[in-house]
Amino acid sequence: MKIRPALAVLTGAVALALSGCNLVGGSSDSGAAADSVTVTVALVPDPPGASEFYRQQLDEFEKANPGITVKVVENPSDQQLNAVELMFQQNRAPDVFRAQDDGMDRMAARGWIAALDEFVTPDFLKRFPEGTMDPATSGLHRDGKLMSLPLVWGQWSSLRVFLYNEDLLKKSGFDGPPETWTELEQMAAKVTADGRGKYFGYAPFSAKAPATEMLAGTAVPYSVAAGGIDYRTGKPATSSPGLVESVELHRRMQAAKVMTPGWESWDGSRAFKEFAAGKLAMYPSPPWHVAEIRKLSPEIKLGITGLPVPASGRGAYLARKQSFSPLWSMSSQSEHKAESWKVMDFLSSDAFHKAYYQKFGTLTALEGAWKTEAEKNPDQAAILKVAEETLRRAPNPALASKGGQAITQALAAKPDLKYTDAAVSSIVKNQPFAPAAAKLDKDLQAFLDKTSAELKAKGQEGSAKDLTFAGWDPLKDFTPGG
Amino acid sequence: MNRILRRNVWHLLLIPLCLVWVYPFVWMVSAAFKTPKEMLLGGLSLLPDDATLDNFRRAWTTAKFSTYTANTVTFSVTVVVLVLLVASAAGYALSRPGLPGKKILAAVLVATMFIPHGYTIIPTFVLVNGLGLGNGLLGAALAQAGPALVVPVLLFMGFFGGVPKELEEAARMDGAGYLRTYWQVMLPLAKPVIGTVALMNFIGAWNAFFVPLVFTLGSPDLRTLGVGMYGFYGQDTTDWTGLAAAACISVIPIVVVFLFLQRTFVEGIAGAVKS
Repeated sequence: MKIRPALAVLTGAVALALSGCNLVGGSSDSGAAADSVTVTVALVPDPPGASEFYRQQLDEFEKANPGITVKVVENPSDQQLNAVELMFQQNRAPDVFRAQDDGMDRMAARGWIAALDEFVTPDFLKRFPEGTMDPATSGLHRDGKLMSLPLVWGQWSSLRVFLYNEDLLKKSGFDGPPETWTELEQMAAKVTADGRGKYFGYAPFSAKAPATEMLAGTAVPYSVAAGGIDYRTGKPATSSPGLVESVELHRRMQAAKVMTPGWESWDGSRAFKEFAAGKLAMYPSPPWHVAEIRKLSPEIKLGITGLPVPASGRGAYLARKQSFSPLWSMSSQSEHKAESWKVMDFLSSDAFHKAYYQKFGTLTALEGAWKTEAEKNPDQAAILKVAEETLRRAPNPALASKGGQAITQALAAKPDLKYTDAAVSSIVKNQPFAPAAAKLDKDLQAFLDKTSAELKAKGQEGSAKDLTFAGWDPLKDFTPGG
Repeated sequence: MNRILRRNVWHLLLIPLCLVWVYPFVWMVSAAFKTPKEMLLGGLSLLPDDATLDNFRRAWTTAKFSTYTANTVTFSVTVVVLVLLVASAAGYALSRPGLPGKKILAAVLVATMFIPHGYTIIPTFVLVNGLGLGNGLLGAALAQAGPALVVPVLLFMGFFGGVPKELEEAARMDGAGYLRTYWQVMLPLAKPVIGTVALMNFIGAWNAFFVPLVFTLGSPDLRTLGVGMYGFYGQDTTDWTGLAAAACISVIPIVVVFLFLQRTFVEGIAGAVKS
């Protein structure tokens, strides 16, 4: 008796296996030439189009470096760290990989990152803006060693801008954006009323209401707005009046139905879509939204300015905690460190950064690659102006001391101690925020005390002292050690 | 007349419901032909103003969906082969009367159905890696096929249990041993169950996400279509039109397979229920 289907399936599977469809696996470098060193680069294909861009750029690199083949391994942003960790655990680590901020620390803690100091020359350092590669403030150094190289402009991740639709504001009789929170509340109410459901005056950018943090950053030190601790005292300060008022401002607007309905479920990119569609008049935003709005709606009359400040006056500037965010790291297990460095050197070259800027409009770490061009672009010129006016260097405990690093890492691992959920709950349920803030402060203090005691018991540094920068004025540039 | 009117009223009520039901799927196909601007700002319209194939090109070449499609075929076929071989053999053995501990084995099998994949994924991963199969799709297929065996075993068990004893005795009289009876007599009779199990597991493997995700995390070249979808999500933005095109590439083969095999599937289920 014949069993045709089973045989057909079996034959198919064998054929697939034999045709090299990865059934039982094989050498990953089988495509590389025998006399060529293969450098594996694990990256994130972000933003859209980056896959092609990286391949083209690395093809150029290969042409200029005939002995080196670059193999690109792409992972989605969410999976990059897990994927790279797994590759290390399977002894197939990439030579160069993308790991940002906490991710870089996570990799470094496992001993998987090679220090780059042996490769760096004075000429290489000169590519970066003056003073930005100082180990105390670069953001790329750990324990004085260079552990990563950046891709984007140092101020990019710290900067927040206020975006407004000039046409919608004009329709309601406003010539310019709000300068204070009071004006923001009044203008948003009027625009929403005039919009009659077709457009709205204001929305808080995304479901977690980071707008409360963005606006609070003009009233209280960044550390209060970001994590509830005042770095001037080293003490919990979630109940600072500036932070509480930022939440209350949003609560009032929500109760008055001024904000776009449904913002409670928005993801991080919904606000720019609403804005580009002409349904949202104003919102505080990270700067990358500007390019996305322009892609979707090049003709929109987009205004870019600094965030409104409390009516009583500015209490703080946005914080530049480090010169750069880490991005490219070299594996400590790489067998081709010299070749890997050549790839990293290329990824930090003027030519690559210029190409990246031209392709994506992103301001990169090498200002020389784009500054002249950016100043001619109205949107980018406005972003640069806002950065100049509203950003100031601020203390960063993670860079200042090992204790600071330990205690900030412990705090980062306790997101329930951050006020975000309580703030959103207060806004949505229309309940006062102050009692929740007071409770959070107590919980934060208890956590700091407990963590300090635990670190001390292990013979490690880390206490409220490491979070204290007594002389810091959040209205002025901070000088480490000064 | 009244009956015709009543039927038409029902149709009038159900057609909009049906449109609502299929709208997301049709919208996904439509979005695959739109520009990002039109997709994000163009509202709910289904016909693209400026239709483009660029999304498919990007998904197929740049996002490597050509590789992922080949991987998914390999993975799904391997899962089906593994499930058919093991489930039919186990089902045959468990259907024989007098097998010691048969009830306990069946009970243990059923109990394992209730253990979520997440609880067993780490030991499974360690085991597959220990077998030296961590760098190919066979390891992922083994991990996928293992927990997928319970229902097929029960289906085969039910089917073989219903085959008259005389048939087996006749085969034995003709000189066939245990394995030959299973392979040459019983298995060909089980075609409807084979069809059902093959289709169910092919669809399951084709759409699988968790197991292929874990097993291809460190080996992106092995990704299947379901896992490859994640590549369209960037840190800040998502390539929605590329994602829609990729979804079309992923879903169309499985729809075609189902259309071709739906009769086998329905007959198999009906047969299994009857037996």
